[in-house]
Amino acid sequence: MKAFFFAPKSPRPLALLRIATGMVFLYDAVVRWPFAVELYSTDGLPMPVFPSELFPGTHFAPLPLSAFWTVALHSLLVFALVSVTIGWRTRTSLWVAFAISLWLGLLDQAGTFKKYSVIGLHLMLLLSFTRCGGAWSVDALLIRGHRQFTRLSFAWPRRLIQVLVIAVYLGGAMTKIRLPDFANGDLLMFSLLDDQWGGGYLGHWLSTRPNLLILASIGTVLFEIAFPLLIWNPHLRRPMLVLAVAFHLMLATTMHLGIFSFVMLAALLAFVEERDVNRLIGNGKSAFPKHAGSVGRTSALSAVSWALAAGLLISAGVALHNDGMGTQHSRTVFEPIDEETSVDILASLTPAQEGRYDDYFHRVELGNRLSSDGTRALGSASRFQRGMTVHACARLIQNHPPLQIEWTLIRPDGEKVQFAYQLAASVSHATVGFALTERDQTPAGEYRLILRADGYDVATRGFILRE
Amino acid sequence: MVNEEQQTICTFAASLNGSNMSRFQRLRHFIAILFIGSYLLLTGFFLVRHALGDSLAHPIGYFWTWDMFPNYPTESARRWAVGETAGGAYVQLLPNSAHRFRWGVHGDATRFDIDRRQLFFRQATLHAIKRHNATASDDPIRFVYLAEQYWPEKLNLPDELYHGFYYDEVTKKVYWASPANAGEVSKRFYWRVLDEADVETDGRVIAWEPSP
Repeated sequence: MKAFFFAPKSPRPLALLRIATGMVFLYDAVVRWPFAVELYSTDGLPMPVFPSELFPGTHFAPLPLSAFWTVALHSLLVFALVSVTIGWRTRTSLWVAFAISLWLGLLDQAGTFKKYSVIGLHLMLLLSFTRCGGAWSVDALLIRGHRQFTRLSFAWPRRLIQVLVIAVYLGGAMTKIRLPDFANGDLLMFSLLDDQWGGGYLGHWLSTRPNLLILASIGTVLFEIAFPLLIWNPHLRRPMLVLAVAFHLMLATTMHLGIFSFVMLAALLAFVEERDVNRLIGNGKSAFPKHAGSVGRTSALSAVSWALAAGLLISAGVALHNDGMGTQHSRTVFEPIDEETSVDILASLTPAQEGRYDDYFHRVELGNRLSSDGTRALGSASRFQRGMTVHACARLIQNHPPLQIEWTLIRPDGEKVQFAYQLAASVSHATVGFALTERDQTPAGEYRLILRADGYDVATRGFILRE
Repeated sequence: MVNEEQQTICTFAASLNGSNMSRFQRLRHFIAILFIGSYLLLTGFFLVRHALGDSLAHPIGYFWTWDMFPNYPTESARRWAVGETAGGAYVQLLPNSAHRFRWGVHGDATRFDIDRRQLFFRQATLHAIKRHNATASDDPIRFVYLAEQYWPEKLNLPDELYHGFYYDEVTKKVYWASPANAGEVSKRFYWRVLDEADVETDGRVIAWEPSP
């Protein structure tokens, strides 16, 4: 156990992790920098993660600052993340980045602070206990003249990052397993269709492939459980890492998850060993000590330069910030609403219109069998043989009212068979089955199945019955 | 083959018996052990609680609970605060030009849309009413609606995917497409009023009334 946590490790894999983490969160900070006043300052509209209304007396609600100090702080965050990336005063930069990310993040739940922000905070904190600035860094360049070897890191911060990654996967798997709609693919489908976190074209395409959705959902849980178990096996470490990279690249291409995928790709570098780095990048000089010796600190000049550069960047940030600090009030423009829209809004106070009923239904499927959980109709939807049962399964959206569901089967000769029932608001699937066994009751030919809700037609599906 | 790293680990592990460490190194070592133990304990504690479906309501739990993908919407929505002025005109109070941050697949969702808890919608509306009345004191806001424009998520599909998914080969029909647009996927949406309230002349809201 001692060796597991306290063995000396090369700083090069950690340096890769530092660079990746710095770059990802630098991007995130730069993207939000123009909106700093709006998101975090008293001149804007902070939306705290833990508002005092819900968390009275909490210590997790930092005070928003004035626009000036907010921009200064955000500019310092950008500088600190640049410094983390290039490894300049690495430990100080990580602490500064950690503190400001936490401060600003807690002020904006809606636009800033997500679970990937929390993972980032863990990474920054744990990296600050390593010597991740010991390779591929300004710090390493500066101290090269002072000593002949590279200092090693204790393994434990890296081990804790590995634990973090594993906990993230296990937590994700537990969340999904607990959701009944996950295994049948519906959770993934609606997530891909979501216009905030959902997919681009590839994600939308996937959302129209119900079988692929089920496989992808089950595959995700399997991966999230398998990774924590198998990554420790030396023979499976690399395959699992490749699988994890593929998994996160797939997530990045099918969903709009902000920087989540890239944060996880960075965190996965905690599982990269020195020998992997040697293999990929080569080993100009061994990262291990050639001899023992005293270790000098980076020069005071570096610290002063760092502080001066931070000051310069903050000044430039405050000067360049175009949010017009203090001019928000005078700039606010309120657009008039056209008459049609205002009439529509007021009309919504009356009960729902007929067209609304179509949209309570996400899909209506036909098939010759039902899935074991009763949430999918499987098999051919348009061709049936004598002796089969035509199953219909309708998936409803979440916010539907209680509905009177009526299924009407119209035979080729125009005769109708009806089946009606009340569907509670909490039920998400409506199903029905009609046996196509009796020749006199269900003659061969073209059929229509009409679905009505509260008396309104919402879907018609056709199928052909052959002998 | 024993590589250089393994050799170093053995030498180093041997040095961890304590005899070769200075007092300062021992203190650092002890603090590191405390930190490791605390981190592992917290991770384990919150994993177990999460497994039991009993995530701690305390903020600290947020930093150790990995519950990504906890929920999904089946509708997309955009939130507006609409003010009715004394002169009978309707004004879009939220979002307004001061809210420039956007998110989402199309980069058009404001923070009011992202915050599904709707914790700050009323507060931001009051803020906007004050700003509006400060510059339009001759026609102040007297009534306010917090409204939501919403549509089912199936309408987020691009037309060609929508047609492929909702096409019935027997009836040759694309379901739930707008007949007014010759079969194109309708960009239809609906409105619902979430809250409404009278507004005093000084911009104060008398009482919010949630819409049924």
